[in-house]
Amino acid sequence: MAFRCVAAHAVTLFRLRGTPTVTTATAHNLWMPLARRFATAVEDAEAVLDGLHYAASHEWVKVNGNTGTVGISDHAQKELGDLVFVELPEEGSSFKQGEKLASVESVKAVSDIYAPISGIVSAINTRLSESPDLVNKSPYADGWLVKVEVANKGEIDSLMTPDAYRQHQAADSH
Amino acid sequence: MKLLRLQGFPILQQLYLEERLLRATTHNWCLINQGTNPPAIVVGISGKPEKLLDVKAVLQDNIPVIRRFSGGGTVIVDTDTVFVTLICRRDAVTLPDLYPRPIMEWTEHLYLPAFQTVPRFHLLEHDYVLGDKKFGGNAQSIIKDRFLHHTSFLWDYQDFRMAYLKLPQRAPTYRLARPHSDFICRLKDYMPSREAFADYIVKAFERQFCLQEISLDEVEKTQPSSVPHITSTQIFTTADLQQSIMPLIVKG
Repeated sequence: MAFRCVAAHAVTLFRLRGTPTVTTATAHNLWMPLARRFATAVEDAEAVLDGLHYAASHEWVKVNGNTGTVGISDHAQKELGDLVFVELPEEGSSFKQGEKLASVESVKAVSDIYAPISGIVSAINTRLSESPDLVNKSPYADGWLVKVEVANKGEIDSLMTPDAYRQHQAADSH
Repeated sequence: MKLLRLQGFPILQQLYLEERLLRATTHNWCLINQGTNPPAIVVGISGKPEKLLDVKAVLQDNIPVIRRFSGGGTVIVDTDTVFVTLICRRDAVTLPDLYPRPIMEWTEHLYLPAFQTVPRFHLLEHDYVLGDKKFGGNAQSIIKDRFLHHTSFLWDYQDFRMAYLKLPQRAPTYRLARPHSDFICRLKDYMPSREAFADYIVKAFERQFCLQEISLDEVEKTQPSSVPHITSTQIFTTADLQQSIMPLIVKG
């Protein structure tokens, strides 16, 4: 919407200065490349958060000391659609890297979520039982899924850096 | 792709079998089950009976209520339902990754040849429709490198059974608050016979897959149920259903 306004103002300026009227098609040709450039930049900035480690299956983990906070990426939540239900493990349950950790339901589909790192679940995000859409609205903050006591910090090396995940995500979209 | 054709196979056993074939095998599968007996209500993984059903009527008439392992809404199934299930490996489909919407759209193209003689078949939001009338319920379960997509097609239905289902809180936009009778249609009004419908489906799938028919006995021998796997399908007991409406009764 903002970019249409910019283009519309540009058209108005041209008209005020007595240059030939810019057609609707020309205005469209002006704002579309601008819109794409800005939209891509905004999406890139939000889609992959620095400071996290990413699995190929689109989960992320943030390790702080011996605690890992786990969630799903912005790319994953967008592809899954509006979540209506999140099933989380019990506190105290243990998972190996790559094992099914949780499941999420979007309209018509249940999708498994996998442990990006081995550990024992020390906390679950209880807000998700009433507000599963937190995962859509805030996948890297309020929409976290579980916290784990990390069993093997060496596994972090097998995960992707934010840059590597950006490339992986781009390949996933084609 | 292995093709398993069943007749009147109980839906609870079908769901157990599907979950096993999805989680504990590596093959591609197609199941076609012509009807189920006794009638049953099947809700999605997060379905709450008290929100979706007239539980008192369900209890009075002793209708089994099953929670399946896949997502999606509520269906009442009986001998007039035709079930078609696809279980596929990631490498069986031309999708970059396994997410609900691309899978749904892929199935629309897969099914299209089966409905060549039927006007206005298409995918509308998340439903297969003829025009704007739904004729089947879809649901999916997606795991690493595999997915399941199952459909319960309404060959025919009994209006009195639809009365067990409440108007869902989450309904597609195109439903426009229509009651069941105005929102759904019977496939038998558009197809010559159930057998012909099943044959159309097989022929449509054969455009993309090489189908190899297998019997239930062979499935049990080669893919034994003793292989451990996650099981989420469950049947609600009478006590479960009574418990679900207790707060509503207490509120009066």
